[in-house]
Amino acid sequence: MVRHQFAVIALAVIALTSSSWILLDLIAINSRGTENFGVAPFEERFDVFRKSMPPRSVFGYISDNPPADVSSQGEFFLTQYTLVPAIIKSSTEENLLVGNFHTNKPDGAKLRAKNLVLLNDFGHDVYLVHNTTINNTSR
Amino acid sequence: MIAILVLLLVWLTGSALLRWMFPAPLRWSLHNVFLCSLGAGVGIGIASCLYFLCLGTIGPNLVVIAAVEGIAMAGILGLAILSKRSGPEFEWAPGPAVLKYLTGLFLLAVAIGVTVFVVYTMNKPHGEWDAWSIWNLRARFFVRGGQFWKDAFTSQLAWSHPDYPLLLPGIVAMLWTLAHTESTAAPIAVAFLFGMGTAGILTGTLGILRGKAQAFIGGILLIGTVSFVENAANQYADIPLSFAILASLALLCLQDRNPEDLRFSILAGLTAGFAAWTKNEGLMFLCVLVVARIIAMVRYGNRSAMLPQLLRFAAGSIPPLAVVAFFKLRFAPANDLMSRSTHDIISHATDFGRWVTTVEGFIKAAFVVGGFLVPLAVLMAGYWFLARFNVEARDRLSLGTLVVTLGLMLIGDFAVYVLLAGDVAWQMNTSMERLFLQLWPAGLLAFFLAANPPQLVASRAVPEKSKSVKRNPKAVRRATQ
Repeated sequence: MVRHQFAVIALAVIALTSSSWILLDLIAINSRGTENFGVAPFEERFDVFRKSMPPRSVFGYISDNPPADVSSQGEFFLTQYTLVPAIIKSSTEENLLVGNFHTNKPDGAKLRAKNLVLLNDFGHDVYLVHNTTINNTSR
Repeated sequence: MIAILVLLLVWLTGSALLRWMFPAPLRWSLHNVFLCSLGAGVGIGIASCLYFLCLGTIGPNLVVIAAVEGIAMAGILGLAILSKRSGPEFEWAPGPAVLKYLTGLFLLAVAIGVTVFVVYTMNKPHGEWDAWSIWNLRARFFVRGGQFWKDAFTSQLAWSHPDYPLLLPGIVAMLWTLAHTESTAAPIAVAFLFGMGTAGILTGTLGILRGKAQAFIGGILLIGTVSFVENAANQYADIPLSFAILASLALLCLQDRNPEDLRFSILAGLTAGFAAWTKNEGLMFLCVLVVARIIAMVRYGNRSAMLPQLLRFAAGSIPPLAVVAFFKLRFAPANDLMSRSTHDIISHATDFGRWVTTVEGFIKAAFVVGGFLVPLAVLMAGYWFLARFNVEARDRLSLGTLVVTLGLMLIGDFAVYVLLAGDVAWQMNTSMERLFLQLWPAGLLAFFLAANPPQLVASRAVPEKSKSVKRNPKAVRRATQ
């Protein structure tokens, strides 16, 4: 009987302590405030851009994130999620591109080297970018 | 708010269908808790399948979708209300007395689990990475895409795995469509229902098969599994899949206790079909379950019962499988893993490093999965050492089905890592825990079906001479057969 009691109480205490531990962690994270990464900040940043899109469109994508950075891929996915039903391609080989930058003064020289020019500033470091070597839009 | 109301109707519909199959008085009982838990996934599965059938055949027509879903709900609810059928009721199996502290610990685990879910969701109302890069992304295409909703499956979104089945995107898109708003409440509520439903099925099944003490301990361990609650709150499809896997296996366990009543096999087929509609691993589960069931019945069961059970199982699984086939043949692109060439597979198979990485990953997972403060393998081994196993003869077929199914699933997952994954180390890092979580609730069912019920009081174990004996002696007789 004592073995069984010990087994049950130990199991329950470990499970409940583990849950409580993570709960404290989560409360601490919540109390630290808002993050810049996540769907909500992206929806806010891209709101004006999204409302200006034609109903069915394909955009390329350019960002100033380091390519090897994990958040780089995450931000690309978030951009796609935010701008549905547009399709965002992880490439600069499109006539029009979504520019997802982290500064309101993107590096013009770097853009020109890729034959890109800024077309429109939507605020929140979001731009519409044009690839001067491609002139038509096709899906 | 409308999305939540529609989801409640969906849940009610699933529960009504089950209550029509297994009628019992409307009151607080194990029977009704079990059916309501199972009803969450059944209702969502039916609604998701109907939504995608409408979308795939007629297009995103709100009136048609609302009419089809409404007629199905009204029909099933009417069936449940007007039906005069009666039948046996699921009751707590006789077992050792349950002390108040165990009930208290169970309720505390539920309270903490719900709080973790709520706090996590407050922090990330849109869920985690896979939620917005796969599941809700697809739902947004269905809702926002209009006549171009099929863009969700374009090869330009290959990174979002457009071949994945659509139970989760289907139900979320249906709720958003009918509510006319993309409220985060819809995927959150769906995730919550699946999480709580899985806990309800595990606790209910263990209660019916092994008694209240075993049920509460299993429930505490599942709800106390941090990564299980986290993944539910992440709005990933792995918890809905774990729901379907557990439900199918639990129903087959109940089938073994009630060999004459083939409704359990029909329902098990239906939930296994929903597993296939949830994730590609669910399709593997369906195949594995049939093989495991045949092996277990040949070894431990009545072979003459095998064919009738398998036929009922097939009948139950056909409707969701037809929807899966409709999606896979008509819309889905090829799966990235299954598109590997024979040359790639042979070269992977002969790469010794991949085998080592995969074995290491599986061994590591046994210790780190779950998010417990104590390594999982140590926790379970410790409990086994103290409580020990005692498999009753009547449970051998059920346990055989569970163990062979889980074993074959692990072998299948192992083979996918070794033979099909690209960067096996990366693939394991990003998916191993979720694959284990898919099987974890069913693993707990197997563990506590085999474990000795704990004797928590000094006196001789007095079977819970329950009110159920007075109320329904037939049910107890059946449960102890």
